[in-house]
Amino acid sequence: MGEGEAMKAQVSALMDGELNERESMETLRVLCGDAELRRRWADYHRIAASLRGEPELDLVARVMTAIDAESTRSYAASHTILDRLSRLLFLGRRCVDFGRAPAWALAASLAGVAVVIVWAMSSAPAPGERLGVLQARVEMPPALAPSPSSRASLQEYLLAHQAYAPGGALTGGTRNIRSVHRVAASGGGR
Amino acid sequence: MGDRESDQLLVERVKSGDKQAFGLLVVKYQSRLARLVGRMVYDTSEIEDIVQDSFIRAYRALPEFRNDSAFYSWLYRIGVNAAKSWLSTHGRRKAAARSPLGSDEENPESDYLDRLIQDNVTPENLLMSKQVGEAVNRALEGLSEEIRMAIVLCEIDGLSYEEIAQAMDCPIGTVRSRIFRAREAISLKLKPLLDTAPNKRW
Repeated sequence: MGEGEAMKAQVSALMDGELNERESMETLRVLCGDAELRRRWADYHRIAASLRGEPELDLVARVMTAIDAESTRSYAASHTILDRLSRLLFLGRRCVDFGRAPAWALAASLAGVAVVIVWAMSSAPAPGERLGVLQARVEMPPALAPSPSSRASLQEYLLAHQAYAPGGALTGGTRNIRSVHRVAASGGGR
Repeated sequence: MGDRESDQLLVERVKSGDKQAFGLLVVKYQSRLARLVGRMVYDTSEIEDIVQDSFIRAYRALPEFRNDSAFYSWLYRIGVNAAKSWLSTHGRRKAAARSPLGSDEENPESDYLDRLIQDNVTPENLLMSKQVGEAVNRALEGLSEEIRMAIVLCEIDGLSYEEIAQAMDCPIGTVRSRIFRAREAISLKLKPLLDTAPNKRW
């Protein structure tokens, strides 16, 4: 008995539950990866069903097609999410195709997203905190808020010292500025 | 290693991403599941749809399947629920008059084919069942007495190799070889018939 025949005999015995655990595992491993052996598995079961008077039924192709279609749909959905994520990160077309990108590229992209999210969450105040800041600005205690009188004296102080302020934008140029009524009085206008 | 243990190995393979392992489970249980569903729903084409749906549901739910129960009893429960769901949706309760559901679950073995032929059946399925049945019988008649007896005791009477060896007074290895040779011989006779079945080969 050749190797192929021996494996078919193993499949036959597996079907009857007559292999030990180690043999079963090994036979299943080979069986799952060999289309010809899988056909044998199907034929043997079909023979068994016929001998027992069971109906002719072969749903395997239909079930497997449906499962494959479902897997493709879920893959496409996850692919779309990753695609959108990459656009969000302005990665553009350079590494958009996660399906063909190496695993490290995908991992690096996801790590980048994680860093951005963590940074954003740690630096941005929580909604409650932000509201608290606004309320603090609005409800500043009277003792700390500038009173109208202190504000007026401050303006006087600033005006008084403006002429002495060094480095002003118009320093040295003020003498060339004439007011409109003086220009008109001197007949400068045409 | 019994059915439950070998099923568990297949389930583990499916869980680790081997879809073909699930195909092996479908092959193994499709007829039995169809027979069970056929006790609740009459229409053959709908039975096939319900069985297909049951397997797809099982595939989706497999990650949650624990080894608390046998795979086939878990699968049968899914099949019963799928059939009940179909009946409630379609409102056409064509339950079989022969036996209540409870006994079906305990003993799914039944003469489904007889009822299939008597009630409503698609011509394609009936023809294929008939042709396969005739081819198997012809192939069986062409086998030697020892080989025929070994496969009949195994498949029809459900004896283990050890029990067959005792009945036939021969070593277990011989039983194993005879059953394999019987299957190969019948499979060879069936090949022209099965190869012509459209979109049926896996």
